Amino acid sequence: MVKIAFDDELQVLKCLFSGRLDIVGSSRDEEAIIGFIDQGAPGRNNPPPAEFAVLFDLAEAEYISSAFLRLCLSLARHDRIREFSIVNSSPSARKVFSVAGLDRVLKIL
Amino acid sequence: MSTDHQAKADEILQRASLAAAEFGQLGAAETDRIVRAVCLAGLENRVSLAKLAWEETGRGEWKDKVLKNVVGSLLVYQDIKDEKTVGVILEDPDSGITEIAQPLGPILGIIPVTNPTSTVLFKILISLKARNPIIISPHRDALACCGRTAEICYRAALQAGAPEDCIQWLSETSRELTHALMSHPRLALVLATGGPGLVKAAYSSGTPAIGVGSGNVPVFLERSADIPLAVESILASKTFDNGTICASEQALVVEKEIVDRVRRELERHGAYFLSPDETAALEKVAINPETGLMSPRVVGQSAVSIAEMAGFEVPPKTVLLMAPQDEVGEDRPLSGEILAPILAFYVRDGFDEALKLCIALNYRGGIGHTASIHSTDEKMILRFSELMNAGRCVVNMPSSQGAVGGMFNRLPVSFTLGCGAGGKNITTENISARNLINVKRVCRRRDNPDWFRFPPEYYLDETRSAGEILTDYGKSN
Repeated sequence: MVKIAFDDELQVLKCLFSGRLDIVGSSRDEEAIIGFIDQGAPGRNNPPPAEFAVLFDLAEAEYISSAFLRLCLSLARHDRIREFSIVNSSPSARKVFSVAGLDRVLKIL
Repeated sequence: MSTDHQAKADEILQRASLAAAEFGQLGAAETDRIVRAVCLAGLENRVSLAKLAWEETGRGEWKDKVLKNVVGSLLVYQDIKDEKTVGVILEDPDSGITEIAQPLGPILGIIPVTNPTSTVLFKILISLKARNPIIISPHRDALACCGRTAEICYRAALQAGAPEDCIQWLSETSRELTHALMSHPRLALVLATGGPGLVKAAYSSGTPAIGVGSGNVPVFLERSADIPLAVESILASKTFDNGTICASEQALVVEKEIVDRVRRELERHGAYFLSPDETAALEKVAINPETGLMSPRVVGQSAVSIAEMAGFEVPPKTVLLMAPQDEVGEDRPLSGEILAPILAFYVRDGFDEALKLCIALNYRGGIGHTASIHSTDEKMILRFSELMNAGRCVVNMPSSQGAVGGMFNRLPVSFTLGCGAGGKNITTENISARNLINVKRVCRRRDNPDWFRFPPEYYLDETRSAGEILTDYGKSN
């Protein structure tokens, strides 16, 4: 389950992923992230501002599916997201982005 | 090329690339589970898919297409299931070399109208076994049956944990879209099974391609052959699915000494020997006079229907039309490849004359493909095989089923038969999963003692001849 937090100072939405990001996990996490972007944290009406950055932290991710790659692409192209970055990818996760050709279109740190 | 076709190709390859990325993370056990599930799904639907292919294409016989589907699922699976295609596939401590399999990436599988559903099953299985996503591009006359086959496989693959979009298929096709896909920079390989034009387009696309060549299979019935077995084999092969397999016999060459017995045996099994007038009439419907190639009208049709098209009647139980011929060449239209139950028939006096004729047939559009011999004389079998330019020389078996492998021999089971340089292909192999991986070699240091013990001064000394160096090299070891 993704952990989502918004850094008000830096205007960055931080998403910490864990476990298998297969089609089930990715869909669940996508729903949570989009919900956060649209409505803010559950139970609080505090959506992020009109424009902000997104940071995906893959430190605890074990497996990346094509559904997760599509999530990355859709957020990178989201009209409210000014910058999309991925951090802490393992070597095998990094290879997944390279094989998909996404290392050329996404900011992977 | 229109922007629509390019956009469609971009979308397909984008999906395939994501699937390729996900696929690369799967281990051998996970991959094998997917391959097994796809095999079972294909096998489960073998009859309905065969009937669909038969109804849609109007070619062949549905019962034979069922068997082809069994070969394309069960036999292909049996052949590849224990193949190592993931991770470390070989470790050799002596040489210090470890081989690691890497997937190629998205593959475009071009599907012919003659073997549509079975080729889809085959290409999907071998691609998934090597962890490659595949895009199925069917012949325009087989779109529905190929799409249905791919869909069944895809559902089974997903259920077994395969990546989304690991199998895609085109529900409409055009030359422009095929070209856009073939030449797309994200495509790893074209697996091209089809006619010479299509294979040439694949090779010209700039993307690596594995193609096939045209066949013109001579079958030599040598005097020592077991005639009843040979005739039974030839008929089982040439009439199978009304002759649609490219490895089927195209011309029967018989030694004069045994011709009467061979002819009687053929007639006993439903072969009909044409008169000169009937042969001439058959030429007109079987061959396109402008191209000199087989006419699509007769491909996969029954012997009785073809005779009707040509304007003569044959007994209703006729299964094969035998067309007596004297020579080979463009002025003998029936000496070329015809994927239908039509078999050119030649008689020659002695082994050498018969062999020369087989060579002429082999070089009339069939180099690199398949040659067939029926003989019990091992010396003659070897002489024949040495002189044929063929990827496969099949001995004492039906040529179609023999070349495809798995039933009568231990050749890899395949619906894509490499035809080597003669057929303008990179390999003569029966293409399988092993051809769809890149092998990475990890090379550990193992010094060559000959190289290091041999004084380098030898090479610098111009007075020392090449012969001396060659003689002395390795002496110190």
